[in-house]
Amino acid sequence: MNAARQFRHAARAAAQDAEIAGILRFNIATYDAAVALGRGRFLDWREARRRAEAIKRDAIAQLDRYLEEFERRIIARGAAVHWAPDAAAAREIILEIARRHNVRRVVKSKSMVSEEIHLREALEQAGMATLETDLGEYIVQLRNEPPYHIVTPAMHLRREHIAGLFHQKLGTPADETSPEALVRAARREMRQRFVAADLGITGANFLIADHGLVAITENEGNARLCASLPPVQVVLTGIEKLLPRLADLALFWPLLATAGTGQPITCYNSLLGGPRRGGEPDGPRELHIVLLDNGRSRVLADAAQRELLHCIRCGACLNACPVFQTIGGHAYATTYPGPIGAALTPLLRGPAYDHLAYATSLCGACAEACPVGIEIHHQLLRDRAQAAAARRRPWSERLEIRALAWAAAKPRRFERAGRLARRLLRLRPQAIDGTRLDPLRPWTRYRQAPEPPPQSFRAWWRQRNSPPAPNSMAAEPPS
Amino acid sequence: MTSPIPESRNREAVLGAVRQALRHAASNPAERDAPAQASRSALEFPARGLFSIPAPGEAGVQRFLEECAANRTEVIQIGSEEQASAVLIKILESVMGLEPNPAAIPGAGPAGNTAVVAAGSEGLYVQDAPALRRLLSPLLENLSGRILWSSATACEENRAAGLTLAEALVAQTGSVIVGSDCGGRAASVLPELHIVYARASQIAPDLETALASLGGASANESLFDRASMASVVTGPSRTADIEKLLVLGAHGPRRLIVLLCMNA
Ligand code: SF4
Repeated sequence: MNAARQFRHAARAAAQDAEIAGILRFNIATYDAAVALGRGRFLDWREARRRAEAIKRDAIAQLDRYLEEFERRIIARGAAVHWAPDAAAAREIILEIARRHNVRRVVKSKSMVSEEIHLREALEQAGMATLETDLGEYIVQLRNEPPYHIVTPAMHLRREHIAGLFHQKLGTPADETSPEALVRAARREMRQRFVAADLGITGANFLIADHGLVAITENEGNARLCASLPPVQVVLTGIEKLLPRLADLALFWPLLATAGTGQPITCYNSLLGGPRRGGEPDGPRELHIVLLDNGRSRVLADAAQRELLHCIRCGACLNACPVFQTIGGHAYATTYPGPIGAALTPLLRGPAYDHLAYATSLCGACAEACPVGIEIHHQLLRDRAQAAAARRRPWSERLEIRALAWAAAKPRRFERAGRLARRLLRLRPQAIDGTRLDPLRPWTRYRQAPEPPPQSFRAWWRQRNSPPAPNSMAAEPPS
Repeated sequence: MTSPIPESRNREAVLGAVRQALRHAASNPAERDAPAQASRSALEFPARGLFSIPAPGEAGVQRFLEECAANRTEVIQIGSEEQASAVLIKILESVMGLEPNPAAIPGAGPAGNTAVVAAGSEGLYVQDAPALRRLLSPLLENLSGRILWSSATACEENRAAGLTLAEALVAQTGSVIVGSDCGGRAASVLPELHIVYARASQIAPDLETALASLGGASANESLFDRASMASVVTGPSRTADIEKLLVLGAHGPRRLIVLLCMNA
């Protein structure tokens, strides 16, 4: 089954799952309330977004310079910087580092880029036990599924699900469902793995050019532990994460926290300057930074689309999206779900993911939520245009669009076509509603067919604006 | 795999692709840095004017206390070093399972706190700094064998508490900034309790000021020339991954206590 059909099936199934719908509604309502409060802490949220957008635009427009500056400065403090054109290269670089150090046990903190390159699978295949240590990621790893959301990986689960899972995997009491106890159990379990780990892997939220720093944002402390305890550390991240200056974080830290969870600032914002220095009691002896391209430079080449690289992965657009709210995160079957994933995936992974550009109502709620002002809905439309221009759409759709274009080209033609369409709609027998015989099935399967209006909007408008005929009532607008 | 990674080729491949993409896009006159240029001067201080920031001094302390209350950092205001020692021993008594031993310490602090003897097996990990040596000196005898100094060893998993200084405090967010020169990287994240000994004069009004001081006035005054890592810590470790419910002590400290010296 191809990705598009798979998506339709998964989306349909998810949309009908009442339990998930309830969980998502609760989660997103809680999030919305926190974000509304959080935004209120900004004196001017719109100005903050404008500045963030301008800073990212500058960072991306001079990405080559900033990357080299970052590289030069962090290498000067003893870190190693590796460049990976694609996922395979990134995996090989990291496996090579791991082999060199005879790594057997790996601890990881949250990194969407590591999901993108399927790093955990690669490490495990090479015989290295790899543990996701972010609590949400740990839960979905135990369940053997991908994260549901880029910020809250276990968003689709209730505490009973997690209690059952921990009972089965960690031996907690079956009736222990208090979040405190579950968190304690996970912490205890993971502590020993931290202490025994030979390699720590983290992502990065920002790379700071002017000081050569890796900035990592988290609430739990697991990324700090990954950067403190194992003797070797790898930071895996995308090339688009650059910010020009350390000072930019005074804006981006509160911005990311507010959009991500509604917090004024995330609990831990760490800055890595290099491996352990002489005289320091702990920290990795080696720090490796892996900078991944994997299609990003292709997005960069298109001036109209490159703003997608401004994304700071806050997850706000997912929560705001009516499609995400209906089908959830797993149906997308992509690393990045929701609006940003729908816009990016066809560009990063090619035409097999064209269908995601259609998984949107183009309502613009995503753009409204985005803290760096990406016009995500316009990007989705652009993805569609690209697919159409490359003739990647089915012949039936192309024919329909052609017919529509022809009909809409001349006012008279449009009027006649409208009349014909209304007549055909009226002739359509009610009995076929929603059945396979119904040409309107995609709509009527779950909804009533619309009643065709008695007249066109244009006719109604003409009538409304002409002096009332003696025997007509005030015209009602067609519904 | 035996062949080494063609690192330099990878580097050229990625940077080359980026450069070509930028050239490609630059040929589109609508784009390339025009909008960024326009606003660059305003972006010298990206956060300025976006947050309500306390004036330095009293207001800064007040705001720091408020933000800490909101983010669950426990702040104890301290007047003198002796008082700090007394408060510290009270805390250690409760978290390390220390038991009072009336005979042991002569002249213990004004809180009338008494001597202690080791009861549990866990101890304290302390950044080796003169200020903390002084702070602990009245307690050294009683804690002997239960203190690990950062000059001697790395923080271990079984430490009940980590005691460190801070690089700076931030009023705007109620944050404590610790560097790896504050007793290493693990001291402030591995134990269940992190105790920070800081002065009110270390409070920076906002993140902008705090970041500027980390970066240093000139390139070689940066914190990162003496510390390999720093963390802006805002409250104890937390998670809301289970039903959005806040739980403290996810992986890091469950409690963060700041002993805030009000004078000097
Ligand atoms: S596109 Fe914007 S809203 Fe969506 S994750 Fe990225 S930064 Fe957040």
